[in-house]
Amino acid sequence: MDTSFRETSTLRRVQDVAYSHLSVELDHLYMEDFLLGEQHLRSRIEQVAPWFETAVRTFEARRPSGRPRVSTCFLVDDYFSNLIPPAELLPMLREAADKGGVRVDYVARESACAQYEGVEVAAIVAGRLVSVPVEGTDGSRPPVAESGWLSNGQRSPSGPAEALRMHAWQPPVEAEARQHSIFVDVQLWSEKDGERLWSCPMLAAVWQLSRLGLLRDHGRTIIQPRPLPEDLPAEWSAMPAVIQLNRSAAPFHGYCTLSLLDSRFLGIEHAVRVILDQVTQDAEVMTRVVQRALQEGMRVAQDVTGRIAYTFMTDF
Amino acid sequence: MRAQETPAYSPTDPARDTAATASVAVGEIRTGLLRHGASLTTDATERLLDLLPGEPVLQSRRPIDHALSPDVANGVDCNVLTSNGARVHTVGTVLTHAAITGGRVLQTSTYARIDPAGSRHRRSWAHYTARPGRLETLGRADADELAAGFAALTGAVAPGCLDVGAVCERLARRLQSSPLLDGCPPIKSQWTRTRWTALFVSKHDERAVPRADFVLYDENVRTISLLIPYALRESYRLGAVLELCRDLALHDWVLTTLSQRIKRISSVSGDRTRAVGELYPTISHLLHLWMPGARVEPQLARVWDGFERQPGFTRQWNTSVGWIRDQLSLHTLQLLGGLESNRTAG
Amino acid sequence: MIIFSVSHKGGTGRSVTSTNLAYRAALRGYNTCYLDFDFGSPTIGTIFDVENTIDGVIGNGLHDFLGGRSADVQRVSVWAESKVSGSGQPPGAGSLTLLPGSRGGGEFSVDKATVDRCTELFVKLDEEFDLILVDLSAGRSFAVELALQCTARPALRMVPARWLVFHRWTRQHVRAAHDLVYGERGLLNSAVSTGHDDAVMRTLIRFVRTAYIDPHSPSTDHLSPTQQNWLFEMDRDLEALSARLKLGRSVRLGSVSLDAVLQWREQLITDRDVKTLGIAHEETVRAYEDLAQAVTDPAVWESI
Ligand SMILES: Nc1ncnc2c1ncn2[C@@H]1O[C@H](COP(=O)(O)OP(=O)(O)OP(=O)(O)O)[C@@H](O)[C@H]1O
Ligand SMILES: [Mg+2]
Repeated sequence: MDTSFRETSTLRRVQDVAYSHLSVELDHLYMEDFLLGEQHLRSRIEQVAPWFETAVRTFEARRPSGRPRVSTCFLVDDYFSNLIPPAELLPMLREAADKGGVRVDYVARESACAQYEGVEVAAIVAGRLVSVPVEGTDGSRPPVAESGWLSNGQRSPSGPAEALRMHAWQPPVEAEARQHSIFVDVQLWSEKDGERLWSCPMLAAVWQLSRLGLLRDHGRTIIQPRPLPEDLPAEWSAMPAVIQLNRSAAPFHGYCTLSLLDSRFLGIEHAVRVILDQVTQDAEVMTRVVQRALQEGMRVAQDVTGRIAYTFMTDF
Repeated sequence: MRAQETPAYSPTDPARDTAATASVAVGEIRTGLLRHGASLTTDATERLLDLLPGEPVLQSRRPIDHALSPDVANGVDCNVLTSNGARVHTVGTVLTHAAITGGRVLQTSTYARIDPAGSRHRRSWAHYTARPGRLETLGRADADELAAGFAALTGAVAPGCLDVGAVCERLARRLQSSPLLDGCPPIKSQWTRTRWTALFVSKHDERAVPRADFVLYDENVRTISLLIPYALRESYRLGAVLELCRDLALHDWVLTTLSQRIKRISSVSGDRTRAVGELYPTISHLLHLWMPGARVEPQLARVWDGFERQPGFTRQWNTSVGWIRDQLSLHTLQLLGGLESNRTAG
Repeated sequence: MIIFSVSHKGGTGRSVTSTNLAYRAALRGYNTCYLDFDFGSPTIGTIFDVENTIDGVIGNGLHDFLGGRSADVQRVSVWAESKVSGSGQPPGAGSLTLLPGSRGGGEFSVDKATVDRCTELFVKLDEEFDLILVDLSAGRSFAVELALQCTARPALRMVPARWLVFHRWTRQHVRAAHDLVYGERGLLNSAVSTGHDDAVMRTLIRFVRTAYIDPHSPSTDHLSPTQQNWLFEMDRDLEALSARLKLGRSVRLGSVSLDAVLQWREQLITDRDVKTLGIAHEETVRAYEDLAQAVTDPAVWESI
């Protein structure tokens, strides 16, 4: 007789998500930018449109096997300010997009990257940070950590002033330096009255991971698009994390992401990559995505930063 | 700069991943008694082992309470010694988790799979974080030599060489100092360290699999060397191999601890109060832990069967338990006898 | 249980007495370990007569571990390595393990990381050993500060601690021992400032008199009556002084008489030294046994 015994609590299940080939972010604006009026918004959108078209065309050309699924999204910054309620902002954005000739498939809100429906989303990502080791890191010592900071290498030695005075200054070192270092130390959060305020790069890193469909809480996906609510709430916090504006849109998640951003975000995105390079990924989720993409004839990089692309735009 | 190496849509070669190049997994397990007076509740266990937000603590109840924490990763860039004394440069992450069995025994375990055919130069760190629990050698190395070299290292680890023991010791120390524990273990006991290697052997290899060699060094050091069918390498977390090694380490610890208890009880057998005082916690805290092979995958169950035949783990266990029960009966008898003679005297 | 040995100054017999105490406790069946926290000059290897640790070890001694330079700390089994035991662990004995200091020693500051490491070490040793003896450097040292900070940590709240203060039997030594405990910068005040409770801390401190000459003992028989009288008087005065300075009989854990062997050589006094060789006094061994008994006897520590 064959027997089998299983306990469900011992199984770790990982939920799958639907994928587009490419997820394109159409610029990023601070709330304050919206206050500059409809005209300003229009001109921003108009500026994005040609870059978007070029990107899609190039992508299609590199994928001759059928029309790729491309979805577009826009991230609203409701974490650092909350000036304009959804009921005002969303119609404004839609109209500007329509007139500017691009379609916005999804609108997401940034504070959902910090916390959403009781899940500490940013904390989940922060928990998976594994700092890049310098040569000689053999496990015998705990990793050097400055709470709330993440660097891309080894910091300058620090210590009591007296001890330091004895030695000359020693430079920090980028772990992956080619001859010379570009050392970056990224603040992940600040703390005030016991409350954690996540930094912009940290939230943007979460945003990238959620677009890539790589975030899970106990195996479940966290940020999934929902339809546009009938009545738009007065508060952003009452909104879903991602709203689907376009009913016939391709899936929100993408095997790859492209962000069309104003050049002012260069620094932040560099920090985002410093973070993403050091987030360990769920091997199971990663492999499944790679395999699914492959089945569709698309080769996707194993590492996260290899799936993220940018175009930095200039207001000519 | 590194985009040249990994263009945005760069292929990873899935063929390379599944190619039957030999590969090896190594790890160390530290096993000891939880610093807690009673069996730790499911709830406290869950909280203690909640090492990573967003990841579950896996708990099972049959045939004995067992909980497994999620894996946390640590980055390393160091040497691994091969059996012929060469130092092989490896880069990647090692994973560490903790397990609690019977609400009593704590195990921390650090491990990694070493791919002996890494690129010549260190890659971008994102390459390694995308493959948690994997180390890649810089340049080619021989899997057999890596395994043998790792198993041979039973003493202190040379600086600059991979020290998985230190990583799991840190987690053990952190957990043992947790405010969730009352800090009053029922008995004094020692930790054991079990270093293990698993060599994944392809179909074409002549060697019989699975095969296991267990070596007892001094009081607390053991090594397990495994030859494992290649197919089991595929499981993402080396789950089956880890489970087997933890199970062996756990039962070896229970056995070791029980024989230390027996030694101690014998040494105080003249003093009945002390002897009984030592017997009680032994019986109530150790004797229910014996469940060899409980969570071992059927494909690897043969390993346990082998150890049962020689040296006969369960045989030794039964003898020891018998001895303890006899001691208790003896003391009880003496106690009753004492009462009896008191009564006749009175 | 962690037992801290302290003394106001060097040369009081702190190390020799506590090593002998550890030895006797192990012989009584307790798993015992001995930590050489005398950061100025690690010398315990000499007393235990363990080769290669005579003045500390290289690489992974206690200083290296506490300073974060070594992930592990070396352990030496006295039964296996020392010439004292002859043939391994005596029947009925517990383990006796020495954690030697580092050769070259050297002080270091008591920062948070050091306290973390030290606390973890104590927790780990407490899992294994019944008795943990810690030989702290003389006077108000970093070692004392470290011990106080560690024992104030929550992880060690359930591990009983004991403090033994060693002193010789002269006016100067009695005053100095008083100062070490009750003085302005003394043990009690330091304990309170590291978060210990004053009343509780007081119940954890006992005094041990070393190299004591008992005027009643036959060893003073050869003295002239005048000399003997003078001894009695001195002894009485000192006893009165100690009582006044709160280190009198009620808080004295024990006394070890002056033994010629120890005056010549720092060593463990074995039963062989007394019975076969006849070089050491039976009394000395009994004093160490009494100390080992008293330190583990809950009744002794209940209250003052
Ligand atoms: N009961 C005793 N009778 C005679 N001599 C003793 C006795 N106890 C200790 N001594 C001797 O006193 C001297 C100092 O003892 P010990 O080294 O133990 O002191 P200490 O307090 O540890 O000093 P330090 O602070 O320098 O480490 C040693 O030579 C020792 O042998
Ligand atoms: Mg000394």
